[in-house]
Amino acid sequence: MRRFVYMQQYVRPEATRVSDGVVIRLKHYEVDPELMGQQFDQQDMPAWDTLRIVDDRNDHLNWMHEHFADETLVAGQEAELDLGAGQPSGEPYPTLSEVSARHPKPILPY
Amino acid sequence: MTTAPVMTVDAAIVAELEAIMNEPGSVLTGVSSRANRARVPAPFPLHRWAEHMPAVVVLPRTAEQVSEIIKLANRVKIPVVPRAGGTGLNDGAVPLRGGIMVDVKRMNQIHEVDLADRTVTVGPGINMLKLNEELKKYGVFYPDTPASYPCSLVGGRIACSGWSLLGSRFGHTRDLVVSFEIVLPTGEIIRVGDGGGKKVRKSSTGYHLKHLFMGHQGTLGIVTEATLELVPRPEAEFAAFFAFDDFGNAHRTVYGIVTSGIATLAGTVLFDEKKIEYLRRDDEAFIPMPPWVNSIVATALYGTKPEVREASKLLMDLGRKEGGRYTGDEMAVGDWASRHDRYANPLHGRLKDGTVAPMSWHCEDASLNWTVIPKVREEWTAIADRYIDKFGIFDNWGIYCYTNAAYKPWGDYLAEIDIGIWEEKLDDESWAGWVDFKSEIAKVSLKYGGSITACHGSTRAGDAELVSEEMGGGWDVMLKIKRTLDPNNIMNPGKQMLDQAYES
Repeated sequence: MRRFVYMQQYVRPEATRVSDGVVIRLKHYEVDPELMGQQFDQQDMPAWDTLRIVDDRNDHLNWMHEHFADETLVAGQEAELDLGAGQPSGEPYPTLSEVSARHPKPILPY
Repeated sequence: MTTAPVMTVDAAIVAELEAIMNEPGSVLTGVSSRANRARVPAPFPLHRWAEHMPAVVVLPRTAEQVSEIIKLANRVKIPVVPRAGGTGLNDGAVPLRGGIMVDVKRMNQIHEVDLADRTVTVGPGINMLKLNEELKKYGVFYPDTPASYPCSLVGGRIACSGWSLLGSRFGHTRDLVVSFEIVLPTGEIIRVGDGGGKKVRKSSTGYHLKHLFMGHQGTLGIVTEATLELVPRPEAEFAAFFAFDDFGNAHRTVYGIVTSGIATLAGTVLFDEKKIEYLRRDDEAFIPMPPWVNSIVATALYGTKPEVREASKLLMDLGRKEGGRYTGDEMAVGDWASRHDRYANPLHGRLKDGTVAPMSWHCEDASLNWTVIPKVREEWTAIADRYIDKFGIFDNWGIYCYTNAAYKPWGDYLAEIDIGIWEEKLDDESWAGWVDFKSEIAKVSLKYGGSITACHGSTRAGDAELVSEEMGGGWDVMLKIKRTLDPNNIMNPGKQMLDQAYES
């Protein structure tokens, strides 16, 4: 059995800013409380409750997948965002056949 | 003839309804029961809530009860408004003239699962998520999957002719409902399909009445039973998201994917720059994305495992061909799952100073051809900017474009611009401004040869006035049908300018 230590649960750890409007704390992105304050009163939540909500989100998404297929396949590849934007192929897109004598000029995508 | 509003009913009417229902708790007259059924999640003029209250709520269990309620309503000229989940993003289930609200949530039984002829017959009050939990044991699936999948009901899906996230693979509501029973505005109970036959999917007999009543928005009756398609439960799903620094490249990528011939392709979703900006505020998948990302293409496959595995290789190539960068397995799995449940999203609007305000979600949807999406996007965004500047209570949450055609992923798209609205600040002036805002958006869709709605219906102010323009010569036919089937104009009166049917 774990002990409930008030200071551990109610003294919120320092947040790390990740963008202009978002911080990360307790494994969880949260909207910068400074932006929330005018319209939404912020409530004190124990750390365990915040973590429960974060974990439940993942449980919920897994549960949702189970409704639609027996198995979820993945590409098994790393995210490529650190590479920067990719380059388009430069190919005519898509390649369409030439206008024939019998048909009007087709509407080309680009 | 305009049906007069009926905001209260006398004790004699309540007693007649109670006699029809013959069940304690099935006729509700309390304020909370009525107020909770006055609105849907779409933006609502809170300052005029009282105008949208039903006079009384009934909770029937059978078609015969619904029929008797409608006959009573005709006799005493009280409006009738059907309501299923009340999750629509239009105003189909919102009373415009009070009256009797027929809430079908108790009609939620599964009447029959027919694994031989591949149908399931249900009441209109059942939810697709709960239905599929029951069907899972048989290895079959009812693939109607709106963003409200966990909370919308079959009756509402028929009433708005719903769109499904997986529609390009499995079809949309109109394709997945084989036949249904409907109580007409004069109380007769009929069954409609392609022709006859409860479980027949294709017929050439008579007029295709299923399609007349599909998308009826409660103006032509109340659905009391539906026979639905069963498809084999997919063995496997595969989703992939690709990021772009240029909307044009993302737009071209969608074209390449949907015209590739992949049979297991269930859909693609194109996110524009404003959508990415919105998601960066509080969506865990988008917050860490580098600044160059301004568009996303999401796509998913469903089918047998060998089919999906092979097709996924081609899909990964197509997603990258025009400069797309794969966003990783974690996002593919997590964000695709959340597509089925958009109603769980927190609705954090932003004011111009960047602070957060509680806003409700308006999704202005349209059906648009692929070629016009870039131009429509520009015009919609310019309109949104103008109204945000003028009123200060709106927020642009960006644009999604989903594949829209049934069984084939190309051609036209459900394009939606999502707008946040700070409802608590609405007054008559800003509400009128909002209606103008919607109307301008919808007019752009018509200007580019589109339809003003792909899935929600056109029953809201700002859309309703444009139905006749979109329908052209068909509008007169609609008016004749409405007047013939609903001679007293009691079914959901005031919607879609259908009061015109009774002029002269």
